[in-house]
Amino acid sequence: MSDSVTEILRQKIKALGGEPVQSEVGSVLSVADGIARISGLEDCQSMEMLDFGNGVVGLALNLEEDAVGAVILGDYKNIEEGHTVKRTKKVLAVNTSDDALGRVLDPLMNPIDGKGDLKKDEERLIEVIAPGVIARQPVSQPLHTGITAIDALTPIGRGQRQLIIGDRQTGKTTVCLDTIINQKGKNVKCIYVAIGQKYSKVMRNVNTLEKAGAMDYTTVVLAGASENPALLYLAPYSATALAEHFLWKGDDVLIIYDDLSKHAVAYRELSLLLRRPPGREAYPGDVFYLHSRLLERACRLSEENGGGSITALPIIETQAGDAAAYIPTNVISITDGQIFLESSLFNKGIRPAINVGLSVSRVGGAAQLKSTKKNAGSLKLQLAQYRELESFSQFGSDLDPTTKALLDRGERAVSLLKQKQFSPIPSAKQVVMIYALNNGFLDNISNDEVPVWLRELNEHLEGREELLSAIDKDWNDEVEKTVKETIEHFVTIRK
Amino acid sequence: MSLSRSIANSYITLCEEGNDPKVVANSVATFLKENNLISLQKNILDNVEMIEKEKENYNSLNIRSAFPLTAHTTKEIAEGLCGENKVKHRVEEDKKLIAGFVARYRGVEWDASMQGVVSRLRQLLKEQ
Repeated sequence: MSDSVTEILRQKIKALGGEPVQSEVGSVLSVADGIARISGLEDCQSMEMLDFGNGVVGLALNLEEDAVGAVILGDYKNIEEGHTVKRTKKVLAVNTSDDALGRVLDPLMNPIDGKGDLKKDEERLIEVIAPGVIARQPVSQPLHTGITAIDALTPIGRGQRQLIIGDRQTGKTTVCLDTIINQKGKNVKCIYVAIGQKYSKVMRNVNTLEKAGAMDYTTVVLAGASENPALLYLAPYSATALAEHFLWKGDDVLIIYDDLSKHAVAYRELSLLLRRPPGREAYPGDVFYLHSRLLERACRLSEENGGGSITALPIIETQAGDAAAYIPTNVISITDGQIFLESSLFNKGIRPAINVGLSVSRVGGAAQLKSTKKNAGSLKLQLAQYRELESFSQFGSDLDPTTKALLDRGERAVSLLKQKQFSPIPSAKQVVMIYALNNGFLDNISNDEVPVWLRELNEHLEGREELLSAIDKDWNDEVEKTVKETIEHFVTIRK
Repeated sequence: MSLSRSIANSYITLCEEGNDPKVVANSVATFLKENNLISLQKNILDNVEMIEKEKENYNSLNIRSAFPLTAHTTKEIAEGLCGENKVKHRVEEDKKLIAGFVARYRGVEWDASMQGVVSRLRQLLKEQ
């Protein structure tokens, strides 16, 4: 046994060779706040990994005339002026593998959940150019969130970028977690990128996903609030590299960036430490490019390229509802639509607190089931009319019957869209609920009773797989007739 | 690059191009006076010294060896790595290398030490 170990070691040492190893080196000029300025390294590349020795690596971000500005991705307390730095000649890449599903990883794809190392599979660059136009196909397959307000009114397609924007504590993360939970059994792999979040909050979310059985197909990439700003900056890019590992195999991926506001702040901090010129609100001039090159990597590939997709749900946190601020407007202009969450709606008890009037999906009906498209049109109209007349509801009995009917229908529509968190509703059941509203089945129910009625209707639909499957496939006279009969039967037995 | 370092760099470059250092120094002083930058004088002088030291370091062969080297060995190393044996060199003893030497010249380092072999072996075994 010891002979074979010795033999193996002898072979390894022989393989190393006897020639001196040549490497390009530089010297540290100064180090402060995690940033080192290094002289020499004339041939250094942008985003190249630099070896500071003792397992400490850095990332070359600034290539200046007489020095290289590098951020140190580790403990920099033992690095001092004159310290030797070597080029690795490798641009930053991360290990991506199928084993990443079910795990919690750091931005460099190292496991931090204590469940062991990941198998080394494919190494992917964290910064790549997005697939070109020819490599893509239009977004036409729906990605169901399980939230009626979104699936009916601002539908999301596989390959789309849909922004979720709102003030703090308006339910942005909850919408995303609901979406992940709803992907169970739908063959969509999920990646949740927590940028600058509290560790306690992220672990609570991981527990929620575990309880719902969603961690089997989900990876969490965590760059916590106390991490180096460089790791916060890298987290979304390395997570996207992992998503692309699945994309190019033909899989569908959902990736959530929670949130890009903190990402922009981390990038600002990094840029100011690197002494890059500040622009508006002290953000560097390329803060738009920071997010545009990230979000452009979300796409749907053509069938020749495997037909896979990455759907991105970036989150932006606004201050006092100001969606016209710098970073929010940047990301709004990049994405294919946005979902606005408002504090006032949340406080009124309308949860999810989606402002249906301001939310939009630029993909729209192209990514919707035929049954949803047919029924949701009326719902949108009813909500729009209700919003117009809402201020008149205070006049109560002084209104004409038509206005009163519109207000009543609108109130029921708002109640229909309310949903408990972590309780996604399948799309076929959503269609039945909306059909019931549009065809007056809720008109004789008091508004307070509507949630109970809908819950009982959903229970009534359990076991009717044939009908639900037919709704998912098509919407024709026969399906409509069956739906109507089912609802009428429910109403009868409820009486 | 800071302004004082930039001015120091320009001063050195102009001197290296064959201009009279006294003339260049006078031009720099005039420039500082005209642009109200006299306060930078000390920083510029410090930077000139720093840049000259860096250049000297860059252009000289630094050898760290586990054991004392003879003059002949040092000459051979200089010839082998720098292509000439007249280059300015500095030899330092470092027992941590175990055996062999590490030489550095103009931004390139050659590691012919046992310590280097051991760390590469460790890395190789770790990856496997």
